[in-house]
Amino acid sequence: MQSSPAQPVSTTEYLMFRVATERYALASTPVREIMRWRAPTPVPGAPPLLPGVINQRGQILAVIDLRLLLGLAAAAPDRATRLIWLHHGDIDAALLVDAVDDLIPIDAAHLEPPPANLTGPAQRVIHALFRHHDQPVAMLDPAALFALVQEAA
Amino acid sequence: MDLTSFYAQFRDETADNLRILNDALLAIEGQAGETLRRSELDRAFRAVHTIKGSARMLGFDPIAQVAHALEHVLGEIRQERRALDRPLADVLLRGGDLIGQLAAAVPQMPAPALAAVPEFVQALGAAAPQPPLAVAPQPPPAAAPQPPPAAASPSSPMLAETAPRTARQTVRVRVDRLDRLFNLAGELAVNQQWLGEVGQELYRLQEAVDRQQRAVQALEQELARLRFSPTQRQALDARLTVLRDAQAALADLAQRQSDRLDRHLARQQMLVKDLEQEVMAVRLLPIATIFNSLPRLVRDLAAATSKQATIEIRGETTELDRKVLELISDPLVHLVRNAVDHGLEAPDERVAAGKPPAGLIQISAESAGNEVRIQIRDDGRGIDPERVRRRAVELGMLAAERASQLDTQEALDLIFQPGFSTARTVTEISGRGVGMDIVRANLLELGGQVRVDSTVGQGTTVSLTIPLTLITSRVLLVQAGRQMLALPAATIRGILWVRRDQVQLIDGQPTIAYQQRTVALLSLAELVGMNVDSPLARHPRAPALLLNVRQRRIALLVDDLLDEREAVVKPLGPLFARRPALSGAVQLGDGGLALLINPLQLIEGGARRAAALPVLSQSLRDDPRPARVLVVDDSFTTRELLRSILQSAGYDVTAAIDGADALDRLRSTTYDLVVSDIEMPRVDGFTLTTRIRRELALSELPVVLITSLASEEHRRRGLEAGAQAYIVKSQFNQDSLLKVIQQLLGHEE
Repeated sequence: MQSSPAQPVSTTEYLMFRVATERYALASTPVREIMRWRAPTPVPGAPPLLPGVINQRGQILAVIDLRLLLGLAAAAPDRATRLIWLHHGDIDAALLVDAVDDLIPIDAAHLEPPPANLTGPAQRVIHALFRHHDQPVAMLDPAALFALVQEAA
Repeated sequence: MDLTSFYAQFRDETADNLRILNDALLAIEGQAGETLRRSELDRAFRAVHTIKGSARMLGFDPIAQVAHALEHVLGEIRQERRALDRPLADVLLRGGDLIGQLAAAVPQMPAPALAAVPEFVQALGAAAPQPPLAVAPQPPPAAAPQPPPAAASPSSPMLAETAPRTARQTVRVRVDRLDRLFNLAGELAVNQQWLGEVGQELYRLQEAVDRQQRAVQALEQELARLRFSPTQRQALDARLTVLRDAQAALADLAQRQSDRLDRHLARQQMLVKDLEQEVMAVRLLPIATIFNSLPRLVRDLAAATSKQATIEIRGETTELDRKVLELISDPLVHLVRNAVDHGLEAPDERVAAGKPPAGLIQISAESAGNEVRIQIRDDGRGIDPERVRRRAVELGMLAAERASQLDTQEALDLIFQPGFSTARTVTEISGRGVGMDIVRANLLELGGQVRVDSTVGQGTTVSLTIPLTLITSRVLLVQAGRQMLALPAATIRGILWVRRDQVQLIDGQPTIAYQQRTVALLSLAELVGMNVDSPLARHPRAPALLLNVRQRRIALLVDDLLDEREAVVKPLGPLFARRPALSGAVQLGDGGLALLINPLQLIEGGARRAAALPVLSQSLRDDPRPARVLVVDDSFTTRELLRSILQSAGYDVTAAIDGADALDRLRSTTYDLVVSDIEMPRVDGFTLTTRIRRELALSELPVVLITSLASEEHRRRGLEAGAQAYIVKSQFNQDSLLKVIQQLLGHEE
């Protein structure tokens, strides 16, 4: 992350996490809190990608299973499983992810457009890529993500 | 200077002042007494003057112009150079409206309103507005600058204008902050419940200590009876003394902790209650904030419909939660419109009926315990239940025979049906009957109720009952399937225990007789969307919650009643917005959640889904006759459940109680398909299938086996016996069953 003195660059903090074997990131601004997994209260009739709701200090959060949203196979929670409290617009929800890795600053100049061959939900929710330790990390757009969930709900 | 921060304040302040102007003008119209008239005029003048001053300061000249024109006319009226007659009052009121339009979204001002300004100023016949603003156009006697607002002592109005608004003991607080406060107070109340549970644990600890103490005493007595050597005795005594001391200390400690917690709990209980009440009070607003607009509404409506109406308002100081006020504002306006438009007769008609020509609209609010009751009463023509019945039948809402069975109250309730309107002509004012169902929906959302009483020729009263506050609501916790669900206690009319053998079928639908009435029986879990059997399939008797939905009675079967308590209801958020039957979640003492179900929404939603089914049966109607399906099951509930599903999908359904019964029926009648259970007395499902194929030689007849035997072995046996489909009960869902049947009958799309 080097910034040329002539041009100030905008650096944003991103939260990196894993879903299945893939790496994703979210800008840290809409992230309120990271929680250990706990069994949500199921909402009958809701689609599988909304396995239920949890109560986090008085706020009801809908749990969104990112695996299912991204079209990956469901998995049982384990010790690394985390819930990411995401707040965007008037929606508060908890994203179910397999593990949370790190919070890293990323310079906007290092963002790449998403690959052209994305399809389905990934195409809608991934709005940029960057490389971290030479691994591709997909950045999720909270607005697109919530819009997708609302369509499914 | 950045003025943006002042715009919002200007909008609010102007709205307040316009309200004052409105009220004052209406009060003057109905006011004979000179002193009161005078003080109302002063109020109107002051309001307009303030608007003018602020508008000029912020550079909103069009608003200032209109305000100036109004001020000028009001000044003339005050000096008795002009009389405030009705046409002039109309113009003044319109001027207020114009300012309202201009000020609603400042700094933006809508073009049509701007265009109307010069014309309006002209129409008022006021002197051409004088642009200079350093000097007041004329110094008419106005109110005292600040402290005693009631006194109308003359002084310079500019003083009031330039002096900063001080000495007001109020602050504006953002609504979301209040909501947060409200939420936290609720949180605290729930925590308090949890602490209560800790207190209970301590009691149990004390009891255990008591038991231990008695056991130690018994042991001592036992030991005293035994023989020991003096050294042994001494050693034992030493040990016993230690034990006794420890025991006493433990008992003492347990006692003290329990007492302390009790005292603490009692004190905190009071504090939490106080806090709740205070937080609640912060959110309370007098109902006047919405009542205030009603006199004007009635006046304008009466004019538009060529009627005469007077309005009487009582209880404006009754306070309600601001959220509640927001939600009842539209319904209230709608009801008042209805009262004038539908309720009141034309003056000549009234006179002919021996009534005064002007109709009376009475609006009152009063709080009673935890509720507020609002009544809208008119002395008009009343609602004729007979006409309502006829109209409902005409609209196809119910059969004529059914309509004639409704009692008066039930018939009147029909006006809350969507799409119902008895107005002979659809008027612009009362709309097309889209209103009353919205009124009811809004009230239900609040946990309130609405009731109509009417006497033909004498008038109509609509009563709204609304909970005072929304901080906690009383909920009933029930077990439905595998889950705990909460229902608002206010919606439940009663509890009924249903035994399997009390269920009666009407047109294939399970019902039960209760107080000589037929009550539809539904399973809560199934309605909510869980894939579970009816509670009666699992228990010989089960509790049911009695509800009144529209004019029908419904009993919702649940597995168990768990508790009734006060709970804080939290919204589920926009992700579940498409599920109106889920009205939120309530937090349990241990921090867990139970979904709060609005049973009325649930049933209405269910009714809509059921209404969608005839489409399916229509597509089957291309066939000359509906397919005949034989349902075989020894369980009454399963049988009737299957029967009702298949019948509503348009099939002709016959039921058999076991395999042997089915074989008898198959010998005498042809069926197009068989749906059978496996475990049955006499002839089971496997044998039935085999015998259908071998003995009856019906090799083509489709057989669907439905069973709780989920093993692969059973599945194989079923298919070997010749069944076409095998549905496991735990995966059972109505759509997949219907799909399988359609496929087997060759009806698939």
